[in-house]
Amino acid sequence: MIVSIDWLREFVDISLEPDKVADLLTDAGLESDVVIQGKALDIEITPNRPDCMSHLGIAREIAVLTDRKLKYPELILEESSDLASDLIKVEIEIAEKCPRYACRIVRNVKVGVSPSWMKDRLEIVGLRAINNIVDVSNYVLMEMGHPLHTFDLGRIAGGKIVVRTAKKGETLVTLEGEDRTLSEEHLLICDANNPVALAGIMGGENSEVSEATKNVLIESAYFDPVTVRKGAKSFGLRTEASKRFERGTDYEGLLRALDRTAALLAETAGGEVLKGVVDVYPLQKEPPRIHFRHENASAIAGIDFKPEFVRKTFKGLEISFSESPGGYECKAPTFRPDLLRPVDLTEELARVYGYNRIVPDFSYKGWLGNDVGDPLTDITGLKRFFAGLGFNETVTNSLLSPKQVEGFFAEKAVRLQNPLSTEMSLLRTSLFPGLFASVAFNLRRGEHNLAFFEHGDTFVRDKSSQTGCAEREEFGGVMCGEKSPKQWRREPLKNDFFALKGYLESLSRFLRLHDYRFVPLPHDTFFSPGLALATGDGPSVCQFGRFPGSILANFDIEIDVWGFALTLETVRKIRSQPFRHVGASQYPGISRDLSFMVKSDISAGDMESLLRESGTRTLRRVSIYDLYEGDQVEEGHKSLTFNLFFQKTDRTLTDEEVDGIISKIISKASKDLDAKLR
Amino acid sequence: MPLLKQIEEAGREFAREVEQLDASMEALDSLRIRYLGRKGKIPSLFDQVPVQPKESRSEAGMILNNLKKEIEDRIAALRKVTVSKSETQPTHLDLNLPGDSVRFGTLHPVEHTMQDVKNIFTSIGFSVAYGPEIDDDYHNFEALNIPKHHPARDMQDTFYVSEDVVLRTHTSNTQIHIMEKEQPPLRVIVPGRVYRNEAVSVRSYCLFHQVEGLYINRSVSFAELKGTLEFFVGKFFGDDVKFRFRPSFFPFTEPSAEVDISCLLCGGSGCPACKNKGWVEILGCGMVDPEVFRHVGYDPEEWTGYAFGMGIEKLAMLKYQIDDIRLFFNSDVRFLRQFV
Repeated sequence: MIVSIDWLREFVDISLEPDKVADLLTDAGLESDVVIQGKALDIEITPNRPDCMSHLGIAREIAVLTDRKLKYPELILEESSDLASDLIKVEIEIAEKCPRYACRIVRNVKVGVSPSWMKDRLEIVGLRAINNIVDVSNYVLMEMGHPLHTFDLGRIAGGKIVVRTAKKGETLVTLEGEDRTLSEEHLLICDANNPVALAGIMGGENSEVSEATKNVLIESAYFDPVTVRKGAKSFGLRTEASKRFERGTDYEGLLRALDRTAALLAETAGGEVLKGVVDVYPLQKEPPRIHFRHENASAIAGIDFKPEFVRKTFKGLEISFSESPGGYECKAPTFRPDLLRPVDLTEELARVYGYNRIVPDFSYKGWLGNDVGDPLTDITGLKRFFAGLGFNETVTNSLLSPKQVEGFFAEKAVRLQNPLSTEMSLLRTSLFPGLFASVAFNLRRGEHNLAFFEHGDTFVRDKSSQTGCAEREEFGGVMCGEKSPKQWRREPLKNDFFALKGYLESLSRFLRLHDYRFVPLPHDTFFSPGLALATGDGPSVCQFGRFPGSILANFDIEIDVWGFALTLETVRKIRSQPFRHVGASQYPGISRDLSFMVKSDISAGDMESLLRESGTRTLRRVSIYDLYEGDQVEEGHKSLTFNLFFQKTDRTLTDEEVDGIISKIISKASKDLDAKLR
Repeated sequence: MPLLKQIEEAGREFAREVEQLDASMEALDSLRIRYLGRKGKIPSLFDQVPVQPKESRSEAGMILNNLKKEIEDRIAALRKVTVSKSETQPTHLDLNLPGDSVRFGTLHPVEHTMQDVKNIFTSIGFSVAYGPEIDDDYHNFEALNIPKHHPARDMQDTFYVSEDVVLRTHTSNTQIHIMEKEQPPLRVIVPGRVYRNEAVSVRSYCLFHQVEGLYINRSVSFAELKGTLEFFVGKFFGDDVKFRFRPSFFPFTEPSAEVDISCLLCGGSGCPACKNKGWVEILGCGMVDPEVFRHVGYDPEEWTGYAFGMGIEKLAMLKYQIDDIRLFFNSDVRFLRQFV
């Protein structure tokens, strides 16, 4: 909100430079900037301070902070002898939504241009001058913070104001020319026949003050904050009036604002103010009593408040108080709906005292008996592991488009009621769409060699959960292109299936999972081809493979992309096993190479497990180091070369023993898999 | 030939061979094998000792042992010379060729920042907890003293899944879950992803990460909150950075404050990055509102506490001088690869 410094000066002596005033207000919770060449301040008003949405309110703050006196605007109101109540009756049908409605009548006004001092001030605070009637109500709004409305009395039928809720389907053309269809949630100001204003939000065109207006009805009311807020929101409207009503206006001060408006109207537009206020106040409101305890306030704030400081601050903020044991019985002014409890008064004191004067206390109070540490430490370890392998961690948008989730449980996706756009209307059901979007983004920028991982939550609809949504923690990654380009002594390393499989074999070592196997994936997974890395006794640790082109096409990706998804539940279980070190053998081992010729359909895995089984525990390591298919072997056959390493932990192994094991291996290979030694 | 003569001859031959030896490790090895190896000259001479006449046996054994020792020493000495020669010999290898390149990955700047924040707070006794991203209105708003249709809801534009279920707008929802489960005292931080229904721009994104802190104990004061956050700012940004504690408003804290630090770019004198204010806001905090305690069934007469919340992207933007929040979420590898 913009406030004029010149205008503030009417209510408080300001001897400070504008930037010092801005600092002072900022330090008291009203963040301010100097604007318009030092003539005004732009102040951010938090939702709890409707009282500060006016020059008078800001002036009060300055008065308290600089120890000055606040001067209220002078009020000289001359009334004619005719009674306003003879011309207008007010009826409130629903007191909870309109606890108080007051109005005055000013007769025989001359509608015209406002005086220049008024126009200038309105302009500084960002309001356009319209005519002397509307301008006065805006002026008082900016001055005292209470919204007022002026009607052309000649257009109010039946001499009657009725405050009621709208009927479903009823319509009203509001001031800016919009035809609004109403429902029961809207509160209306009506004359004897029709609605004339949307209460607390905007007037109607049918009762608007115009050049032809002779007699003016000024409304000064208190409307229920929630009603005004809902009504304004339903039309996407935010007016100077609705902003204040929804935060809570001053139900006592509205009379002063009404009188001030009438007096200013008489001054700037001529006319006579009829005698009396028509004031209907069916639901009397009263600020709560607050039992303020000095000691508690000092303890919570960590400030030793002196009694004279407390009294002076309360006085300045117009909080009434009387002494009681250990503190004061207090009552907040009606313009401060935010002051309800002792702690609210503590904040007022701390704020005026100055947060920056509080001496920081860093006395650590020791262990509290709660768990310490981070339950995601294991995930941090996994992240570092994958980063070490060359993956870049990424964080992707969890809001996706229908096309992006296609193929990933799309039918179970959680939909937002109010998305920013359909492109971001569904919550991610898997990490992969976000990772594909990451790949696509980089491919478009000429980066083809990519490896990403992400850790985060995915969501699906689930009737059994309290929110109707199930949330799952996931860890997955994708890769494509090359891990490293061709170099002077090395062919390029590709990011392909065997690269990924190698990473996951390393992962099993990282997890200290020695007994693992690779098993084919069921058909309903996204990988094709793909495998699962599983523990020896069953559960999957990770699924991985290539993504089908049909899914990648949704992201305009035309190259092969490989990916993996960890089963965090299994990973955590494995990681939580205690680790014990195994002593290394002190005796030398023997290494032998064996080449077999087998039929092409025998898998390397079959050969490898045969070797492991028949090699007994003496065979410590098996690795395949050559695969050959071509001229040198029989048609329909391939040659596999293994390196075998034998070792014992308790003694030196002899060549003869190894020869014995090897001949057993060879005969079993020949019998079971028809493998011939080359 | 008598054995003594053979020994003498072997000694001479060894000396001759050493003289003609080319200074390579291979030649030296073959020399050693020829003399000292299992089937070498010296062992075969030893084989003859037992068949000598008794009176000359011990003499021959002694002379042969001396020769063996001599040869061993000589070979050991030659080995030293050969090693040092081969090390200083010129090589034809172009050492300016690059080494094998190894590409390693990176952690995301949000993760780096998150770990920094977590480390600072866990070092002073905070535990770490996590909570749901989809939550009901009660835990995200009502229990935090933000009733429906309160203007404070404007501070956080919300994504709705249904009338009563939202994407959390802050990790403060987890505060409530924790307090519902645990009894005070408590000291915990809650990191996590949060959502705001705001148009995507340089300054705002529809999601970001937050770390929320909560401390509840007997007689906790606002001054302690200030002390703790001052400690945090000093550790995270360095002790040169100035710290400002400024009143603000949050429905779930009273009194409430915001923390500003002096602008890292201009040091507080004012620049475009800080909109000429010299200060940059980094977090919101305050004393837990008694209304929040009422919702979770803690007695506000017995317990007091403080809470704070900070945006991780904002901290990262300040620390790494990143000027566009969207960079965190589009996975541009040219950006990500910098955060080693």
